Amino acid sequence: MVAEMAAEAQSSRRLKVWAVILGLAILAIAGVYYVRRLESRSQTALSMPERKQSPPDDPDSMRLSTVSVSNSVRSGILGANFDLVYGFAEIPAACKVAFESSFVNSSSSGSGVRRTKIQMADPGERFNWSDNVISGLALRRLIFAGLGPKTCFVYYERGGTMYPSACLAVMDYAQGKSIWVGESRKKAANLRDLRSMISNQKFQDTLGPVC
Amino acid sequence: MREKTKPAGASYYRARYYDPASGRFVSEDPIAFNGGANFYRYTRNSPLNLVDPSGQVIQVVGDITTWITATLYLNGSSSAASIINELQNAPDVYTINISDTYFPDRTVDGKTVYWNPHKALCVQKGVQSPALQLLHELEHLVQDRSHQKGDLEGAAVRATNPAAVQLGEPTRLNYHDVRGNVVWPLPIPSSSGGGGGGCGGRNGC
Repeated sequence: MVAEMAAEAQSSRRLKVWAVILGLAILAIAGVYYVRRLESRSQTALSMPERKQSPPDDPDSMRLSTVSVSNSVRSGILGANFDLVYGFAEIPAACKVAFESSFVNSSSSGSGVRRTKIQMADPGERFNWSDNVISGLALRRLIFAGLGPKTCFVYYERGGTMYPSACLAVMDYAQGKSIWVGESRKKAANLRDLRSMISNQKFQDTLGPVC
Repeated sequence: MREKTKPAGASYYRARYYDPASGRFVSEDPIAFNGGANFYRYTRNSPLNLVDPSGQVIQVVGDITTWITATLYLNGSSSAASIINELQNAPDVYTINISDTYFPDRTVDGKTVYWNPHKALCVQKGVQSPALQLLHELEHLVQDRSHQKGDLEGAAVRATNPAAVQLGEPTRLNYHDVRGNVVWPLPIPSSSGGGGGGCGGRNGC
């Protein structure tokens, strides 16, 4: 009887010991978890938030920069006879390649990378004339183009801007690139008006990549 | 939320204080654990920064401090605040891309804005802050949301002019009232009343 009671007491003590050990273990685990969480929170709270993430390129990063020439060169730049065309597809490859290869990617990620295709709406077609842009519509619209014996020009509206803008790019076949690019807020209706605007210095050619 | 006393120089941004000097929130995000481990972040840092707490509908990509600075400033105008609130409470997701390389500011497909936070606009009556240019683009998002048609640019100018008046900035006569742009150090007018650059010069305004 005494032996049984002693055994029972011993068993009870063992249970209590195990219960205490288990309790301590749970407390230890909880403590470690709590400390780690505090550390984690402290670290993240001290670190500066990642406030800068690389934004995408400008939706119209391919730009034609204005190219300046002397007054004497400019005054006679459209002096030759030009055959006019009113569709971008009608511009011969030699002229179109010289025009398109003058565009450069002015975005941070693709600086200087040249592109071969420029989306250009034809006269009368819808295009993105303002800063409220619709994907798929061109940001430029042809007014007319002229094909001369040694040079050609592309005269077009520049959309995606906050104001009406028209650009004139004159290309030299031999050089295969634009030799003069000017921008104006006024739009010429025909070649005579265009020549008049040039002689009256209505074009600015030191504005940078605005075309 | 464990609200803290407003520190010197900090601004109250929706439910939290924002310290422009450190570029950090100095009180916790009320959405707490749902916003991630770091309650001080402007919601989830990466890949997108979301406007909390109401809608998580405006994603800001780029220098978010300029966005916060601009929207804090614009919220000083009830007219501008109503435009921002309409977007924040909309079910659509809008993206605001921010970069100094963007020019001009644009809205694409009524969902995405490309904003240059340092380009101020020269108009006939003076210089409008980059923040106001942001509001113009945000109004385009509202227009798309409400399926507005017609002269959207004229309407956007008319919608943002009341905010210009309330914020003490010059109004824009019409969409084509543009004399050029100048670079400002901040997206908002400085405390001295200007933005750090006037309009002048052939390539400026």
